[in-house]
Amino acid sequence: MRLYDYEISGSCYKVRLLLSMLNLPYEKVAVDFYPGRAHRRPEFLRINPLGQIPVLADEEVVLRDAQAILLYLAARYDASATWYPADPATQGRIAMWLAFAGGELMQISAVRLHDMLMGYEEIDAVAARSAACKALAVLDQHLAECEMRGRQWIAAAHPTIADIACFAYPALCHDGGIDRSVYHNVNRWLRRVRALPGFIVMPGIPAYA
Amino acid sequence: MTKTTDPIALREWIVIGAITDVQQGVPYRTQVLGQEIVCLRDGDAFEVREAGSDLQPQRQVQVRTRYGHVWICFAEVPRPMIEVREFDDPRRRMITWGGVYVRTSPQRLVENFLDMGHFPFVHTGILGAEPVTEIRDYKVEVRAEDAEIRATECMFYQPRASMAADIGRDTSYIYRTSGPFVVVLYKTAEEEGEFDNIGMLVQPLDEEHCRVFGYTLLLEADTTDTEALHFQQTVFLQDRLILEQQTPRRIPLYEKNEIPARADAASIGYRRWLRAVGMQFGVLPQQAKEGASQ
Repeated sequence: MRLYDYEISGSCYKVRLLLSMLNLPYEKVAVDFYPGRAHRRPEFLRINPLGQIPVLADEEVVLRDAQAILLYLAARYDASATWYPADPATQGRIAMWLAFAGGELMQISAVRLHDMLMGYEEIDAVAARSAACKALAVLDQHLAECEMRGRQWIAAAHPTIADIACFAYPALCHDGGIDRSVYHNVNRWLRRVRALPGFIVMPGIPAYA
Repeated sequence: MTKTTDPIALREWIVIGAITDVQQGVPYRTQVLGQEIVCLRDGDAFEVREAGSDLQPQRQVQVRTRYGHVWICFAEVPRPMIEVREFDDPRRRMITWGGVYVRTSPQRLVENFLDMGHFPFVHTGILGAEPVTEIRDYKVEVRAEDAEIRATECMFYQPRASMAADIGRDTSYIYRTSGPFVVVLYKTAEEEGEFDNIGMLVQPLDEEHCRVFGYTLLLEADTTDTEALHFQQTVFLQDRLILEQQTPRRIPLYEKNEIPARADAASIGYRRWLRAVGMQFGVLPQQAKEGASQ
């Protein structure tokens, strides 16, 4: 199994995190995303025409999009069948939060790229930061309602790939100058994810938080 | 902010980008010491001017290319640039890290670069690992004549000192700061008896915002450029998170609220030099003594 990877990417981290929690061996192919912009070169566009990382290649299966990869890994390799359970209602909720992770929460990624690296000046950081905070508020409210029903996780009574997908960018929001101290439910849930067996860190998501 | 008036900052050569960052015929706009500037490239010729509030080009400033980067200086008589002989070594290849924005002062960045004490806690499993947290004594020399602070005989146990390292080892370091904004280090390479050379070049946008460039001069034959680059970026972005949490962002040179330890000898030397030359840019202003106004 090969992961086209960039250490600094929150989206690649989602995949590395689940691979670690499932204890699956894989090979990393380092993509020079910055400053080399190798993901926009013809060689990489042949692998993913959208020019985005991560990409997972597992024998004949080649997948782009972190959320799609999480779904595939859980469905194929999770013997416990808890990360993506068979129950239709849970699957529906997971799909909903995977879309949120790849959609609204990516505003945090936009602000982070804008504030951290060169070449992202065209991003409207004020608008993105405001949208990111709205997304965090939605997640916070959802987690509050979960807790009131005695549930600690986003889509089920146990962690699922929805938790993995939604974890990366809220955890990285300091990189984009977003203060998440007011989102108490999000912060408590982030700590629960950190305590899961197989948890790993990345730059911006340190072990000591 | 408008352009600083601090003569110590103004006389420095300051990096504004890697040479490859500046495209032919495309105005390259950025900020240095509070001043908006625009850089134009025509082949290998670069021209840099200050830009007014209407972004129109005004006064021309000195520009030169060296060490893979574009440097500018506002003063007519710049302080000489640091000499790094390793750039002449044909066996070495240079990797530029790519600019990274950090919300802090240039001095906080330099101090962090000089500090071995944070290795086990911030770069866990790479540049350090608990419980080996002790800093052994090292030598510090402040060379006023060329504005250089040298820390030598630094030794630290590192689990994975470079991309090519597969076992932990004691790593030897030499640090050289040159003026307030540039610091290079030499560290034990995987090749017997050799040193890797790594430099951090700070572009102060204003007193509390910087863009950081860096290079690695690599000997390692079995490491790809991308692997070496990602190693450096990983380390630097671990630092960035810490640096952005330090308050105040400007360096407190005259306060007693940050207590240095013996292990901080390099940064003590750097702070002493900043005080001696009377640096103001990026420095927390000296507070009036308590009771002085009475």
